[in-house]
Amino acid sequence: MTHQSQSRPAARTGEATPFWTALEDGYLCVQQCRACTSTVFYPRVSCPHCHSNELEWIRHDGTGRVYSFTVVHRRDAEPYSVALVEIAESARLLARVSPGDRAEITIGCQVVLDIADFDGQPWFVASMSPPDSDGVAASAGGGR
Amino acid sequence: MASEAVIAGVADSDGWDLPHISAVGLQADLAREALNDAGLTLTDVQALFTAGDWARQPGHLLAEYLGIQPSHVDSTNTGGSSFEFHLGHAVAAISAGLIDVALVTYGSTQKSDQTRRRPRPADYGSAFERPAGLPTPIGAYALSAQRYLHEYGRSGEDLARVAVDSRRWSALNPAATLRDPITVDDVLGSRPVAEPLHVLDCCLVTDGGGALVVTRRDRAPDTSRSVRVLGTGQTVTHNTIANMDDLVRPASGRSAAAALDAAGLGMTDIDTFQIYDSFTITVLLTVEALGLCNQGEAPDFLREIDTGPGGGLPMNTSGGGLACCHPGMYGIFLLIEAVRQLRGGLGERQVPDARTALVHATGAVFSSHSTVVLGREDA
Repeated sequence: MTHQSQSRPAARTGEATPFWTALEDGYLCVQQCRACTSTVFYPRVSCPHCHSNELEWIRHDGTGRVYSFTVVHRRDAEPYSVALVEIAESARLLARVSPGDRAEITIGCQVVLDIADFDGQPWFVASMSPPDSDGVAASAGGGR
Repeated sequence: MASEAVIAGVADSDGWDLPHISAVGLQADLAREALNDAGLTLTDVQALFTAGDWARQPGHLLAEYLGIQPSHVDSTNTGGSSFEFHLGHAVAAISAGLIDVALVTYGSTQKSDQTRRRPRPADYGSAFERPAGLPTPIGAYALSAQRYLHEYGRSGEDLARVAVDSRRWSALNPAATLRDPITVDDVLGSRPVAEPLHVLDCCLVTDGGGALVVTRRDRAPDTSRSVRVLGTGQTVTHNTIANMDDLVRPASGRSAAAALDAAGLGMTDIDTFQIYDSFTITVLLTVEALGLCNQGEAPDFLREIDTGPGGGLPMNTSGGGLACCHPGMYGIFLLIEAVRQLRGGLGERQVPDARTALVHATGAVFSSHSTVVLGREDA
């Protein structure tokens, strides 16, 4: 059997390559089904909703809504929060919660996804959208 | 239609801290004990069902260790519910005339050898959530619990009460790990792990093992001790918590409907329930999904009907995964306790005249569900 190194798990290649490449480039890329219009995450070769294989890649605007969250307590680290973020009606994504927003985050609140480094692995950080700001927060959608 | 399969023998480990034996050796011991209980021997066994991360091909290792060459091997791994899946598969094989005698076993030394803490490689789907740092499986159940509290205006007290009730049963079970009574405040004051879940909302981390002998009704040497498998049902819904349709509505009802339909019974015909209690939230959501009460009302329902000793809905009568034992995968112990209740003679924790039992097992992160309806020969 072949051994895969820790730095290149199978998921980084193949059908998910556009996602990982986009993540490295600082934005969220997801799939959309041409047949049923569902947003699909994680990347697949066919739509889990209608089973069509007509998926296309789209750049997501990096906004979402908190579906649930938890504060994680580990013996060797400061508490941190993880949120399950609805990025579309049919798709959710797990993101770290921005430490500054940990006390305020609630189910249903709007968030924007930024990207930060976690031990060499870029991943999404959810920050609460400024309720009434001029312009849009810098986000994984890349909008400014 | 109810199957002709019976559980003719059961065994579980003598204690939940087992530094002196391997996971496979433990299963070999328990296999012999369960076969002895059934009045059968290893040479009668045609089928082997086992699961766990103690071997790459658990069926190969256990067969080799035991010195048998079974015609039927199944290492289906659906997490803690694996053994209810195994039982369903064994019943199907017996009904199809493929086998007469099956062994279902589990063993784990996760506590003694510290393998619980060993990170597992991420599969394709998990790779898209692991970087977020959600501890698994508890983080997934915490997300579900938080959502539940939010949707129904519930509190940590409602979760805690499930753990309090487990101790009312474990106090009556000499084999249980934690037997001291606890209060809601004890649970809420215990160390938070993944909010809203505290350490006392979580199942134990123990060693342990169990074994079942499944056979055809007319093959069981002693029918007075065998328990009929009246119905089974199973489903798998997702792998990662981000892909669970609704975090407060697991698919438990679907497998239960299939099992009850096969048994020709309804919920009101059930005398005792053994419900997988990986976390306190697991019990609340399962009770609702089974249709025992309305969505969002499990805390009130469980309090009113009383799931404790002498109550109207005797549940998790060994103390469950929260108080008796939890060697990584708990499903086999739900079945063993149900069989023992139906056989009778459990002393203080015996449910009076229990004729039927419903076992519901939940695997991984509400990912897999298997329901088993068991009944006495006179049920």
